[in-house]
Amino acid sequence: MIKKTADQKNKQKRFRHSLNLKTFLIMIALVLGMGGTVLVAGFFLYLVGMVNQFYVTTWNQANSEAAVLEQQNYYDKSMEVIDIYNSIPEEERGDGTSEEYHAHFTPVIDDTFRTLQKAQRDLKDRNGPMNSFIVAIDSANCKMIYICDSDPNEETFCYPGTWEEYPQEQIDALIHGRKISYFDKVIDATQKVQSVITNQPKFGLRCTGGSTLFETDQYTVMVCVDEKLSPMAMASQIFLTHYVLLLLFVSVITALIGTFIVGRKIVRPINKMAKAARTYSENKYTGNERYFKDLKIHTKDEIENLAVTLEDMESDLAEYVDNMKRITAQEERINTELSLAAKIQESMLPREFPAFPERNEFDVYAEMKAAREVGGDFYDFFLVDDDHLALVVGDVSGKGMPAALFMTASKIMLKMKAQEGVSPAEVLEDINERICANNIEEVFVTVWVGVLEISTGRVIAANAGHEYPVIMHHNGNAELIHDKHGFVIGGLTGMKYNNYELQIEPGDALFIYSDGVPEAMNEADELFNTDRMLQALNDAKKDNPRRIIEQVENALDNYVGGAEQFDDITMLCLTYRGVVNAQET
Amino acid sequence: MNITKKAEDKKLTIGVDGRLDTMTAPELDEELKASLGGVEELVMDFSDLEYISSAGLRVLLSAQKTMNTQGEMTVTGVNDVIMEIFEVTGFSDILTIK
Repeated sequence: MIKKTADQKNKQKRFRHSLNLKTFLIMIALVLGMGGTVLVAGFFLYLVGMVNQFYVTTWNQANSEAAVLEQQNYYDKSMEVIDIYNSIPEEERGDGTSEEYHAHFTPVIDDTFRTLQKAQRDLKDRNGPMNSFIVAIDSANCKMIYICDSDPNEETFCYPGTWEEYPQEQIDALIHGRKISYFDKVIDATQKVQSVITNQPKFGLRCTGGSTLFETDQYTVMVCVDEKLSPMAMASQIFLTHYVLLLLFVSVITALIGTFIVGRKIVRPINKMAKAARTYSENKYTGNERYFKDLKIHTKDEIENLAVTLEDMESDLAEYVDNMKRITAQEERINTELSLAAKIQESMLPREFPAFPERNEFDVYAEMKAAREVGGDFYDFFLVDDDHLALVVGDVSGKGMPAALFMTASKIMLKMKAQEGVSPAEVLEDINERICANNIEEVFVTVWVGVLEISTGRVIAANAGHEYPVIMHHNGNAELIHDKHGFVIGGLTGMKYNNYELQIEPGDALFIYSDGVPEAMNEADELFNTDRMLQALNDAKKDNPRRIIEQVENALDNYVGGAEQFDDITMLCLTYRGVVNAQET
Repeated sequence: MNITKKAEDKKLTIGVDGRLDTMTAPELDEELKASLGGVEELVMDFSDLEYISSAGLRVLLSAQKTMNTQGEMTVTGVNDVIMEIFEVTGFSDILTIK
């Protein structure tokens, strides 16, 4: 099981709630973005509409005033003011607000003046919070000279003769009119309104509409109506404040609801699955896991898909674990049986050495190293009578259990027949017939059988397809005996085998082996070969059969290295001392 | 191991190259079992065979037994290593080696 590092755990904790946070922030950003866009667009339209409304209203009102003033004598009064204004030198006019300056105009204020005022007020009172006044506009100098202001407020009342300077475009708009922006296409595009929005410190933001009464060379006399924009600005401000607060409130609420829903529908199921997965991997597999099955996630979307996939995975894994357990159990049973079989097989081959401690004339040692648990090679040695020692080495084709069973039968039959005292060739012929009779699997076995006459060193042997025997001469090298070979046992019925004779001298040794020795391969897939085997035998001392076999084994191990052992390896070695030498010791 | 097959009338030539051992012998065995029907002359071409193990010998013996009943089998192109194995195991006595 994979242990999570502390670092990974910390990371997990840190990110566990990040999806909720992300949803919350995204929702807020979305609502604010949408609300902001709506606000900007809406407020802009509202502002444009309102401003236009002001333009139109004040202009209309000015026109109404002009109509009313038709009945009044505004011309004389206007000319009177203009004359006084013109009579005062430029430098004495100052900023047009000083009392000295105003004093020039005091005679203007008479009954006619008041009647004009009243006429303006009467209409104004019926039309809301507007102020009406008559001005003479000097468009060349961008100046506006008050003639008759009807403002009842003393602070903002403009004395006759009071003058103010305005930008050229504002003066032009008032005298010549302007197109209303944005509504060109709705309202007749040729229609112009004589209105202007100004921002004078004294009056603040206001919209002034005008209607021309008459013109002189220098002056345009107009009746103007203005309305303060500050109530609208304030209303806009209040609206904006409320809107923004509402927007924030709505975005937070929406985000909370969104987060809640995402949490319920996405984050919680994901966390549940993550927890289940953790539990799953932390616990031991029993094959009955229901961590994912018990989650019961029914979101009807990809999350549920994921949950179902995990459920499937869980049940698949459970099945797999079940199978694994069964197979493992089976394997264990087979292994147990195999190791039992291996023990039984081992016990069938003579393994007690020295094998004949009471005999000094010879010594024999043998071993079989199976490539798998059990092998198909075998060896045997036994005294047929006091003067005859039988030696057997065999190799069943194939490996493992089938070969082992076959080998067992072969070995028993060989021993039984050989103990009758017949020649090796007769033994092989007899065994061949028996094995062929029941050999449905077409397995065959190679066998070398030799019988040593202990007193003389004469060996009568027969070879059924087995490897060549080796004589290790006491006064020379090991020699491969190319004996006369018969066919393998179990291949064809009616095979004949020939006995042949070997003579070994005291001090000589006989070495019989299976093909596992010369055909052992190193990591480069090269054979050990009989040459290396003979070399190993030459290097060995010939006095002790066990040591000889150990030497060959060492040479073999060194050669093979890490390569896998493919075939069973069997070696049998007989050292012969002879009767005379035996008596000497 | 690779197996090549050449059939002419009732003569079948089977070429085997590489190693014929425990791992590869079953393949040749199946191939032979499947294609020996009606064959009267079987030629096993071992020109490119490097090694034969007891499992391979078993397949060869099995083929020889089959051919004993329906015609004849010859083994050709046997190199020294394979010949040595045939001699050691006595297979040289029962096979027709050319």
